[in-house]
Amino acid sequence: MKIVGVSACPTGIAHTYMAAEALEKCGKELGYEVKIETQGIEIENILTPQEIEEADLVIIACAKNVDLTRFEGKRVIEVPIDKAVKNARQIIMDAVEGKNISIFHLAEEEKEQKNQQTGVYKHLMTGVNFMLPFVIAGGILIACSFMFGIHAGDPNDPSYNILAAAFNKIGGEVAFGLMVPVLAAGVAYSIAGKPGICSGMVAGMLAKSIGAGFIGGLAGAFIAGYLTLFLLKKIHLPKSIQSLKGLIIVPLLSTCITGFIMIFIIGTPVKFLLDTLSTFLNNMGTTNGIWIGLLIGMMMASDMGGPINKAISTFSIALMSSGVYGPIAACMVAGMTPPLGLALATVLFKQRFTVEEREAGKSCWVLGLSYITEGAIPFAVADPFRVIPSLMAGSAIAAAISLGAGCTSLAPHGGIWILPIPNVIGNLPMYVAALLAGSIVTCFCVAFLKRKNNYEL
Amino acid sequence: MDISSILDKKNIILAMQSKEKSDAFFELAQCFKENNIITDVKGYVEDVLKREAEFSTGIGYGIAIPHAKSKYVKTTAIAVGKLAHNIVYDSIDNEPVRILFMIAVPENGNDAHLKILNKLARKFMDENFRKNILAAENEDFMFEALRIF
Repeated sequence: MKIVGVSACPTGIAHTYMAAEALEKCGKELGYEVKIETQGIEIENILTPQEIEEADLVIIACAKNVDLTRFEGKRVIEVPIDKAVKNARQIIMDAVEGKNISIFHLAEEEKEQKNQQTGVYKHLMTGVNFMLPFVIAGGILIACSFMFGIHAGDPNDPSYNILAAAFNKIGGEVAFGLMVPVLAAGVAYSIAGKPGICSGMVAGMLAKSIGAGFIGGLAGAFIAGYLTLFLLKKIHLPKSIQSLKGLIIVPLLSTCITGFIMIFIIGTPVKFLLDTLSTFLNNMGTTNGIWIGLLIGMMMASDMGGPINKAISTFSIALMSSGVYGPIAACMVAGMTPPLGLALATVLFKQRFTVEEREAGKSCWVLGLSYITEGAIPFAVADPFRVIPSLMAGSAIAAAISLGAGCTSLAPHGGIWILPIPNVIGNLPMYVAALLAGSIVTCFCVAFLKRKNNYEL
Repeated sequence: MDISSILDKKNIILAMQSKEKSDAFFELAQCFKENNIITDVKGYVEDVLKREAEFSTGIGYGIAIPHAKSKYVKTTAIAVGKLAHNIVYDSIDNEPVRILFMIAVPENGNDAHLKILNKLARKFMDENFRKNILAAENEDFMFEALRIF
């Protein structure tokens, strides 16, 4: 057995060397190879990376702070230096027996400290940064597809174009489809490091497939991240198979458990919510224009792709088949104002947004005009309690005006690109007014709520 | 370089009369002062006591090695004091102390001197070495006992 260690005392004159001597001597007597680096007034007997690599145990006998980064992942025992001077033999025997030993993980220690300061916010921001390129690239590619005509990506449409279909597949299906999984992977990575990526991404993908939207994805990501972290800490393996821990065992367990939680625990209330809302909407009737408009707007902007959003858009599309075209128009306008309002805010109130958000704001113009509400998700994830209410307020106003003024739409999707087509939108002037009003409301709400932010221009 | 570069026989006292820890420190520091090792007795002893407050330098077996790196020290040196009476020292084995090795190191300690100190510190872990120094009855024997390298 090979043991390495570090000794250090406040003055670096005596105990550093006595502890080193005692540990090396007793180790030899017990038949182990021991080398102790002495961090006295100067550092001597320096441990080489190879010696650390080959060591079975690391003994740290220090009465002052020493840098332990070299010992990442090693089995480490920390003892007071005077104990090492007095009881070196006992310390080595205990260490060999595995008493008081822990696997040293620098990354986790650092992360724990950061958690206390910024915690959840930092994880959310990491997730947003992972997700943003997907939103921006995906959104622009979708817009490219729209340039060929709003339905040019649909093989059954007369305007079908093979390039448009490709743009739509790359941007809309794949890049946008990966948005929530990548968000979740980023959050879980921030919490647990590389071993968290697998379970986080799978949780995000499952959130998508069970219709839980980005909020479900975030819930899954936090479960995945903290579960991975927990497993990393609790699972101890013999050294010979330790490398399997972060590579196979922890990701396997955390992905499996997180997946089951997503499907059977998160999935159940999501489905219940969707069913309840659908039943509620179906029983409500469509008489009271403005109030239903407000409701539609708030639901559209609340979880952007989650069950609430899905309930209202499904409901509105279903009404189209029975010849009621008002609610779908309200849905569309309410789905356009969130990115547009944010885009406007990043221009008018630059200092209240980070540099990344300002960049994302530029692509939000295209996304909003194309009725791609998801453009607002990065903003919502980064600052949910200020952004989501602002989005809901703007969307509610837009949808209420639209429905109150009797606007209708014969198309369920398409955003601004269908407005010029004659007779698709009923009461076009008021529809444009609703779009502008909603965007402005969102813009000023979010600017007001973020008034304390002051980033550099 | 050997022990003689940091140990002068004049800094070996074989019948210290102090009955308390801090008195003993003063007695040895006074010896340092007389032999031009330190510039200020009180200042140096304060630095030693400050180090002592971090954790005791009583290393067990009746031996203590009070020490400090101090701006009042001119050259690296050790002083040896054998006590006429055991003193209470708060040692790691809770036994009283019978012999003191006081170490003075200047702020910018010289490497060669420190190497000797490091070797000496390691030697305290050797049982035979401890027996010899505890048994040394005069300056010459003590000097020889310490001259192991």
